Amino acid sequence: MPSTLDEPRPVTRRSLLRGIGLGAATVAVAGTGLLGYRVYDSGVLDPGGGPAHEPWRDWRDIPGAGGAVAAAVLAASPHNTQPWTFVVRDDAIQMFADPTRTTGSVDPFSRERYVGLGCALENLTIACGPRGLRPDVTLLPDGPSGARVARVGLTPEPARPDPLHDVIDRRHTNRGPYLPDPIAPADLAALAGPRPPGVDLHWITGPGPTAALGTLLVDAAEALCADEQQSVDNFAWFRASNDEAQARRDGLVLDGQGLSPFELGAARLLPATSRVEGDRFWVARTRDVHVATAAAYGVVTTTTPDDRGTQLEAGRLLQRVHLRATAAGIALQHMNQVTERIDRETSTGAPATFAPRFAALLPPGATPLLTFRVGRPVRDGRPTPRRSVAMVAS
Amino acid sequence: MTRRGAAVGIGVAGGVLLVVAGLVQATLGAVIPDWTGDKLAPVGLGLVTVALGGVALLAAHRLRRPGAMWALGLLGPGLLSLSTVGVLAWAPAALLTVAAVLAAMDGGGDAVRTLAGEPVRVLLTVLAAAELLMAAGAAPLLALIGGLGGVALLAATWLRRVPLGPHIGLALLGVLPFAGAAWTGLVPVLLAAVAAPLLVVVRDGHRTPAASVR
Repeated sequence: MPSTLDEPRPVTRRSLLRGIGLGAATVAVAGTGLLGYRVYDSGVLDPGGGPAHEPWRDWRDIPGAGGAVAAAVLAASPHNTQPWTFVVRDDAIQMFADPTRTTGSVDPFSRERYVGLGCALENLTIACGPRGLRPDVTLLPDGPSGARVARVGLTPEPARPDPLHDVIDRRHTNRGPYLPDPIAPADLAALAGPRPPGVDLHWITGPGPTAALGTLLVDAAEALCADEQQSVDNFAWFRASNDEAQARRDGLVLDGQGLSPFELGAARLLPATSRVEGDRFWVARTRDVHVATAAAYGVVTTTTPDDRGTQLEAGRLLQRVHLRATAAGIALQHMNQVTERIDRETSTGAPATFAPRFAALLPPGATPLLTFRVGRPVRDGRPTPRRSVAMVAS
Repeated sequence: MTRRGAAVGIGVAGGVLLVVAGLVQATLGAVIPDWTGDKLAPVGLGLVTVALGGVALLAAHRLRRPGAMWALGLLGPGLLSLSTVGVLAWAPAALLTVAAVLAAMDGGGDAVRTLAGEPVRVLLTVLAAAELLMAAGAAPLLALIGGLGGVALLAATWLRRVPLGPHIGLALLGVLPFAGAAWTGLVPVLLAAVAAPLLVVVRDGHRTPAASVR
């Protein structure tokens, strides 16, 4: 008897296989579609894009005092907090510390904050020459507890090129792996240049000392993560999503973690990590990448670590070192967890466990203020979000 | 009023409201961020919303004819606008969804049968949409490559009279350049891998009528 349209068709091997194939394809397409939306939403295919990265692209085109501030906002700062504001006039720029932009228990004495302000001040002064301005810097014009961090008087003069100015937008903290090539002592010495009064720079090289400082850095990272308040204050500046980074335009982002393109692509597709997972990731990267591939360490020391002027000068020196390193093709990563633990132990009255271990690696009497590693990079560092001149200057 | 007439009327109302919402986003988005979703690029998203409203109006107009496939043209813009104009989208999205449901109730069986008859092409269309979406958020060069790729993938999917050689060319253009240029995003490579066997199935479908003539 002929079949009718209303009768159910028999299930054949062919129709069964077709159904299974279509079902599998539907699942695969649905998954791909969802991941495609994630790619779109996370800005995976536009790294360094969006308004948060515009300051890196347009700073050269801004003339005069505003251009100097545009260079200042590209400077390094602790956890990319950008703790600065500016008042800009044609004849002077006033620089202020933003009291709301701190890392809390990570930097209880605000040393790193003032170092970051010094970094911005150095970029600002370097950017004056190519814009036909001669900077005249007065640190802390209202005293150490005054609101103003610096006053930079501006006098017109013929524009002059500056090789450090040319690399301001190529300077990025590089948390990726470095090549095993050593850096010659003469090359390291050339990075420092003249030191400001009261501030010095020591290089830690050779297998024994670098291994000892490496162990200290890993121990400090673990101790910082074990200290819940420090861990919380650290994590507060991590921007987990592209939307958050674009909206707030500050903080630590995945792009700045030195991941390979493949790792970065996968990381941006995955859900945001928790604080504890982030801490584990940081300790593992410190041990397996940062310390394992460092060619040498630099330590900025002083005999007056509590002096705000010294901290500002240390920041200016650090920024110059980083710019010279960038021009020389040398990568640099700030690694201040040991001094953060030293300050944490001091501020809580805990026994000093890290200070004596660090002191043993330094010349007698030298107090560490900042630590960084250097090396030839496997890959370039990436730009991190920045607030624009309009957001920080009036 | 018939169900179809109600769907058309509600769809037109939703489309007009969506165009208005897009214009508000483009002109006042930065001034009233609480109402417009506090978007980073209000002007661009406003113009996209205006375009979505235009699609909705076109779909509502087409619904005057038999069939319900154009209900998707109401539902899609309505849902997408929720991510482009914030609170302003609530009213038009609700109207467009209701209109789409009414249209589907009136002629949904035909639409479902049409889609069910072309499941592989529907899946490839979803992939092309995903490629276009990724391209929309990419850097300029990748956006161009992905945009062209998405269009080529749609063409390879739905143009039935294209000879085999050009069809293969369209298929390759649809997925390979974007996968190669945007491999760090991983998903473009996955998209190419998922699309490849589906494109082969579509290509075999092209050859089947010729074989039957023989």
